[in-house]
Amino acid sequence: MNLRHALCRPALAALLGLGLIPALALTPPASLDNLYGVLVRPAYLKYYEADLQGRVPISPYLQVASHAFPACLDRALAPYDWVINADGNVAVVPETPHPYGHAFPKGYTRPEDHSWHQPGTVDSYGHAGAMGGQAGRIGGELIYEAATGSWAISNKSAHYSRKNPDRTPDQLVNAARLIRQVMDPDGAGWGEVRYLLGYGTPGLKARLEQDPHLEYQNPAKKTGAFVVLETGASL
Amino acid sequence: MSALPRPALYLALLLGLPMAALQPPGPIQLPAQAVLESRFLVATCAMNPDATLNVVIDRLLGGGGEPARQNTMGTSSVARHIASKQHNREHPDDVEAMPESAPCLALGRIPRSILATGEPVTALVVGTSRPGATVRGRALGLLTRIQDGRTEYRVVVVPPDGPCGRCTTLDQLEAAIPELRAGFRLAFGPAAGTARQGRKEAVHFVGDAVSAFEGALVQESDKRQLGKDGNPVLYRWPGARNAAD
Repeated sequence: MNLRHALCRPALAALLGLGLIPALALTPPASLDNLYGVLVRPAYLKYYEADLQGRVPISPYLQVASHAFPACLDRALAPYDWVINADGNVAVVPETPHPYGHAFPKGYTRPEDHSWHQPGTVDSYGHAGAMGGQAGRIGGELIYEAATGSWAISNKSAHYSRKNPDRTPDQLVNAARLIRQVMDPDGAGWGEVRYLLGYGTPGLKARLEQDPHLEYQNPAKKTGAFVVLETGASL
Repeated sequence: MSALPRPALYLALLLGLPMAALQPPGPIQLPAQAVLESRFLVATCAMNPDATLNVVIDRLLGGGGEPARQNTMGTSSVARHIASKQHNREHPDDVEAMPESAPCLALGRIPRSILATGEPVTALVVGTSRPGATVRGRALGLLTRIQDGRTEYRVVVVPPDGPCGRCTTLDQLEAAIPELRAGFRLAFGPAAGTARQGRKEAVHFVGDAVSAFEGALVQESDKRQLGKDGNPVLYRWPGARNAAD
């Protein structure tokens, strides 16, 4: 039963005024939680994503896309990282060099997940720089694929998506549909929506690994498993 | 400002490339600490979490007062000049080009930004009348002009809560306020011809200029050091869940 409807208006106003049901007053609209997942703080920040005082610099290329003020993607700046914010809008930044980062001519191992990063990697702005370190909903990447002339959308965000049970394939589809509505794709088309199994929960990963349409970012090594949720033409 | 050769500028405009992308790379030299704050406003951030830019207003170009009414674009009908006496006194050359019913225009600087010329990015703010104030706004476009072999830029910025806040493009802005065409010329001085680019280029241009400043400002001693093996070290930010694998 809906509490707002169950209580008569004066009683509800009195309760709100007394602060007896603050959760009802402060909780964001449930529909956003359903569509894009509940707000969570980032899983971690990389060593360079905050300065020595702990302040999180915001990317100077940040755009927050909404129906009222769409964002403009720029193929020259791709790839982009995106996060659905508390208001249900899309914070999006390109992966540009971070002032507090380093360059790694010999490559490096990331301490958070022990993943190896190729020589030539430069520390870049990402999801934390899109959100200023604040809580967000589902996040991922926007990759411009020259071969198809389109933007592929994924759930690749270790900060806001990985291992969170409330970051489902359905929520990625919802986010992708919003992204397509509130971003100018710079003359390109919209490509596939890909759910990366490595950014889901272990249980979901085990289930999706049985999907007959499972694909891999690196088919030879069978790494980077993903499922295509929507094709470019289907939306 | 910059001294881009004309063919390069025209090529950039033709291809829709941001000007900064064609500027010669090289280390940016920041001025002495004493003038950093006054010139580059280091105490103020360039970007806010809602993706609005901060602009510190330097001077008014003139224009109308507060909005008298809102039309369907959320813009105002402008009535009369404000601060025109002060403006005319300080910039007598502008007076001739100032339209009778110009919108409220101002020039300001985007904090913590630097171009290849060593100058901060200049913004043309539409719909504000508060000299000295820090105004939040969105970049809608980029105006460019070549004068005496020098390329000058103005980023057109519109406060989202101002009279033009619902406009998302320069075309919408000019359609809503036709006097702006004269105002844009005024931003460079009288009788100036300008080229214009859209929001994508403006975002790219400002991002490049702020990145250049931050890159020059941050020293190695300001960064967290790498581990002895050359790999990053695990960082636990208080605001994160710190749920590393």
